Amino acid sequence: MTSAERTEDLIRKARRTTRVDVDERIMARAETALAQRKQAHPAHQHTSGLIRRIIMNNNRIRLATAAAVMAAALLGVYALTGSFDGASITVAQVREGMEGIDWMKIINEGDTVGDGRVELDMFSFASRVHIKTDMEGRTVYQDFQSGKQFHWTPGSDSIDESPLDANREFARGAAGPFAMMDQSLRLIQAERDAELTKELGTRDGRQVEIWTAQWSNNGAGASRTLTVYVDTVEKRPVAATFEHGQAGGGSYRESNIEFEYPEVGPANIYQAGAPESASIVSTMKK
Amino acid sequence: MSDERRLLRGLYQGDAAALRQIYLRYKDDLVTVATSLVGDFHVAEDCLQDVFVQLASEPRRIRRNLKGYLLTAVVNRARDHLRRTQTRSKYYGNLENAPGMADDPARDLAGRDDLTAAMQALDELSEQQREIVVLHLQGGMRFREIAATLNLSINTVQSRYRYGLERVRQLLAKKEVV
Repeated sequence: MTSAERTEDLIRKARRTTRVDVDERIMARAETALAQRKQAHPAHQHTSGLIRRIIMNNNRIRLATAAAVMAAALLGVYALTGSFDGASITVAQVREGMEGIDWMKIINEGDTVGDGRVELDMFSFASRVHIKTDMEGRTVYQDFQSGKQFHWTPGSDSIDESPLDANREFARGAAGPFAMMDQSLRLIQAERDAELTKELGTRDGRQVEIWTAQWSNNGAGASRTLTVYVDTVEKRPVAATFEHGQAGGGSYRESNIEFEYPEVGPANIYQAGAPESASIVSTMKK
Repeated sequence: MSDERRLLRGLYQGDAAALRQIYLRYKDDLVTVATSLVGDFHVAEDCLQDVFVQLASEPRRIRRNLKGYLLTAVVNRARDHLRRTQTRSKYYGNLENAPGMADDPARDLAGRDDLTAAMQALDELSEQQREIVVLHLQGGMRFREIAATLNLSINTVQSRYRYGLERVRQLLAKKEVV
């Protein structure tokens, strides 16, 4: 066997298989969708594919850039240089401003603000809970203390309870919001040489410092720009945006992110959005 | 009527047994490809769920070649995920402890450390090269099918495959795996 053939052989053999509880969850979801289609379209409507294509091509509902990336941008300065020359707010102040935060809410509105479609991530660093809701309203409540997760899909009258994978770490092992952002950022920025700037400005009536990181996307003129708004009083990031600059000129915004720091958050999947009428179906081993 | 056509017909008619057979037949290929593309097994499982919910909701989107349709759907979801997150998880670490690694005599024969090295080498490819290498070797797609799926010329597909595979081979040679 030549070395090229051996290489191909290794890649072929590196296979995965789904977990049994995931098989059950996926089949339950797919069978529900199948039944709903059968009920809604006893005689098949051939227009559905076209309508779906039109919807999916609509810029207003393009998938948003994940909130985690925006969060990672926040402390790019720190990751690249450890400081931000000329900034009135230092990274150390932001770190201090974020100490003691329990709940952190990241609201990603995608490329369109105000259309009611958002992607939410909520983290409780005290309770070790991560709640994620995507733009379709699908909600996952992950409780890392009890090792359980709960999945709910809008329209469903059941909630799937399943064990959290033992290898999965809460917030990728970060102890708090600052560490989470810093950690994510290091991953992303490690291979990029971003140009960093800052200026004072206002946002929603409050004074903010605007931190911007821009880097070449592909060496052919395209670029990415991350802009982070840091409240000068609270010393906390309050918003971020992510823009894609096209090689031929022009740009479009992919993400609009808001950060909130609520005192309390949802205590369970029901408070996170699932209806009280939905019953929990467990796949946990007794 | 071929077995695949029979399953598709069952799916059009809302037959849950047909859906389940399709799932069991293709799930491992799909989750393997998805994991290699996004670098995160859990995200890959979510991709798989989205693909099958869409399949169940709109089976008539499939004109022919069920497996090709499913792999294309996985690629599209992987791309969506990567675009949203702007990063690909360097997930593999030691495959021995990774979730979703069921016992497999073929894998044991190959050596788990070697497999881990191979997957880590895949991490070093560009997204375009990785897609083609993974679809061909793990998804079992022919170059012609990949070209049609990705809307590329077959020469481009073959060229990216050659360069990608050579890069992986060089990285493995450095570690004395090949």
